[in-house]
Amino acid sequence: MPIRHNREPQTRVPARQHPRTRGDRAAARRAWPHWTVLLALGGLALAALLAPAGQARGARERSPEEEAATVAATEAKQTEREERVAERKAQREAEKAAAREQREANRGARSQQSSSRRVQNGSRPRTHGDVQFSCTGATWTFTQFPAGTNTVQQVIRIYSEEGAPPITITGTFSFAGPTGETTTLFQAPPGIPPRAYKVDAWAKWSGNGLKGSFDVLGKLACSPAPAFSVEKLQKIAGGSGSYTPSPITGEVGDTVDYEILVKNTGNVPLSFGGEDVIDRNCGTLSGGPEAGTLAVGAAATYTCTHVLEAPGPYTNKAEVSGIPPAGDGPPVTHTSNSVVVEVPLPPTLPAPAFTIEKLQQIAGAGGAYTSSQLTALVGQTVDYEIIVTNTGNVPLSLEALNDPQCDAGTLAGETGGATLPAGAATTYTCTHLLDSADQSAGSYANTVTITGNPPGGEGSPITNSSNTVVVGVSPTASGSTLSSTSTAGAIGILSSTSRQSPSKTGVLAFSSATVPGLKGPQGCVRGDFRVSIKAANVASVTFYMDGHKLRTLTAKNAHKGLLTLLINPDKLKVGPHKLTAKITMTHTASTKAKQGTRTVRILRCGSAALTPKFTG
Amino acid sequence: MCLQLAAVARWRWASLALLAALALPATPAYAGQPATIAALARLSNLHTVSRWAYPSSEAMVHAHPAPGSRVVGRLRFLTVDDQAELYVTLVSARLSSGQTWIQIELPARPNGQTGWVPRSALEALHTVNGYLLVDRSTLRATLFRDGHAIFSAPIGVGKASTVTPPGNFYVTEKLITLSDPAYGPYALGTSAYAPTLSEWPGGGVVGIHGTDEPQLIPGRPSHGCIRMRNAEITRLWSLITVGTPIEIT
Repeated sequence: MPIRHNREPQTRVPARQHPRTRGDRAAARRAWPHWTVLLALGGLALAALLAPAGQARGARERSPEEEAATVAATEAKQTEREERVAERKAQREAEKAAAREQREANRGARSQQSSSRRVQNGSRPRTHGDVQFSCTGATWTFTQFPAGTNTVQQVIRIYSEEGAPPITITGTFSFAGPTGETTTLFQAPPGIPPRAYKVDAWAKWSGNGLKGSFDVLGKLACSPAPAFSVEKLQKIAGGSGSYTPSPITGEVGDTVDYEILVKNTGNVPLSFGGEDVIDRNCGTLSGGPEAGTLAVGAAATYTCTHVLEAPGPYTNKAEVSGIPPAGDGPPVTHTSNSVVVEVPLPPTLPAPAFTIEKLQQIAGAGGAYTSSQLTALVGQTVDYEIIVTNTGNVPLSLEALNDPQCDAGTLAGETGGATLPAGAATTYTCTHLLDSADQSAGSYANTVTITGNPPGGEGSPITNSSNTVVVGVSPTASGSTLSSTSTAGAIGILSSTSRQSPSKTGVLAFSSATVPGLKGPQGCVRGDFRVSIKAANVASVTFYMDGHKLRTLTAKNAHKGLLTLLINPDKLKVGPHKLTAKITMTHTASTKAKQGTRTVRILRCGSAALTPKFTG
Repeated sequence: MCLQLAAVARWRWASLALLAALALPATPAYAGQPATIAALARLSNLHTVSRWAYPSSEAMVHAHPAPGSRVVGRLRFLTVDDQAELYVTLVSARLSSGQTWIQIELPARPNGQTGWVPRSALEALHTVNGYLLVDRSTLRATLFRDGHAIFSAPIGVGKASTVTPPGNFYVTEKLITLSDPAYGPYALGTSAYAPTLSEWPGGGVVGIHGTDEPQLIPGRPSHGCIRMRNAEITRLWSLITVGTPIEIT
């Protein structure tokens, strides 16, 4: 049975509060019927003692009618008393039934809070508050407080029935009236081991226009409840990040540091043996609780590491078993959260490469830029385009372009320090005014050289030279030097199209064209690669790999001045191969078709991802 | 340490000058070969500027810049791991005949060999700035670029019975070693050969690679290879290029 020390609230509003709750009314009834019953019983006893004498005196003094009336009145009073007694008895039965219902309701509420605990006794509601006990804590409810902020001092004392010193938990709870609810947990250190307890909880308040307190005693019988939590965290060793359960990114070769945090959330100590922590994707475990036992409410950390060895996600989780003392239940096993390290694919082997192509046109002639030979007159201006294309897989930092054949001050474009992303192209332009010296030489040829630097560690600087573009130079029609601006349109510039009528212009014939070289990749080829020749004056070219014909390209296949063949080396054996281009040059009525053969070596390599034949 | 290396480089250069000045003009060791050197050009100092090239043919390598001189080896296209073989060039010699020969380091056993090939036997020259210093006494490898150390890490080298050979070498290949944890995630092939492991598969090439036994680094646990912790070989792998000279002291 609960033990109560009720201190009625003292308020500024006088008036003792009438019982408002079922509990208060029951308490009031328990106090009131004692007096009424005692008085009634006393009266009845006194009447019983006095009745014979009275009746005898009355029999001597009263008439039979009066006596009959007196008997009738007495019988009526007796009937009335019996009815009142029966009514009170029914009322008490109803009150007992109500009290039973209340106890059942309290027991149900406690069993919901902690289904594994048997709460033998709780408390009953008070006017301004109540407290319910369970083995994990006490739940306080406060009612009928004034609006505004109310502050309640709370004290809980937990007495072990075995005589151990009590555990005292104190606290303060503030809430906005009229109601508030809070829970005081017992599981926070020092916690309560599984056994029987008496609990004394009281609250008092003063302020906000209200002063009072209540005190509730209860009993608890707590069963063993082994429980723990486990959480896994990770970080890259040597990195700036802290331990986290979130996915992180690492590289092959990185070491991942793991922490496995175990906390005893039950009410009995747990032991963790070396074989009770399983982490298959981690190295040797270290750490854990001292002496292998984790006290109630205590936490311990295991650590382990793993070296990332391959690209892809690396997932890791730990399975941990905690063993309670004998008789306190079976071992408890939990699996931690999974942590993931993403390891990106290894970088592609850097392969810096670029092409440089030079094109020309005669200013004002209306023709397109071409790598073919053109013809012009002294005084005309040649416009040049220099196209640098990054054909590798790393950005290139282009050094300053130096083209001494361009007239001073005419070079435009990214003239120094420009970074060219992989696959991108940039164009430079410049001009040259043809003069008598060019005419004396018969032609004006131009080749440009530029160096591209890959980022540090991704290859060596590359220096490439462009194709050579040539302009045949003839004297002006009048034999005097003309300025490019005043005469360019008037004298009929010879474009690549008009070159097909050399008899009318008297310019160089194609017979001077040389068979172009064949460009192919250096070093290893593992994926698709290109070989190309300059398309200028080339009628057709047939490619052969180790003597086997691959394909024939003609002038109409030219793109940006090049005839290019894309080759897949998958069927080539590892080792050197010979790629041959048989080239047929264009011809005119006055010249024969010139032919030539160019060869490059293609080296098919094995994969760079392998087990090397090193001594180790 | 650097002074010692510079001294070695100067000694090499002086030897070549002596060769040019005395041996070739005065000694027609190869009958019918008017092999006189008209000009010498240094291609690599093995510290700040070094040049290398892929072979264009499987040409013979000669002891001297003359076709009739003793053959000391042959260019090859592939390494033992089927990667593109390359050669660090040391000196270019233009002969009075107009022909140009280039002296190269040979990745072959015994270590330290050099030889001469015609210029046409090599493709375009590539340039490398820097070198990797492997110090067996301090058990540390340091990568220099522009004369500055940009990477340094503790290493494991060969044990007493299988020492890591000293000398001048270079990086021949960059490999990704995903299948064998003993080599870590990445490996670099070198032109060095383990002196005592000639029967090893592949001839006993000395590599620089990671490890699955990082606790042995720094130390002398290997069969001649240079081991690094995996995080550090990963970093070095990203910094270094093929053709980079290696000095093992």
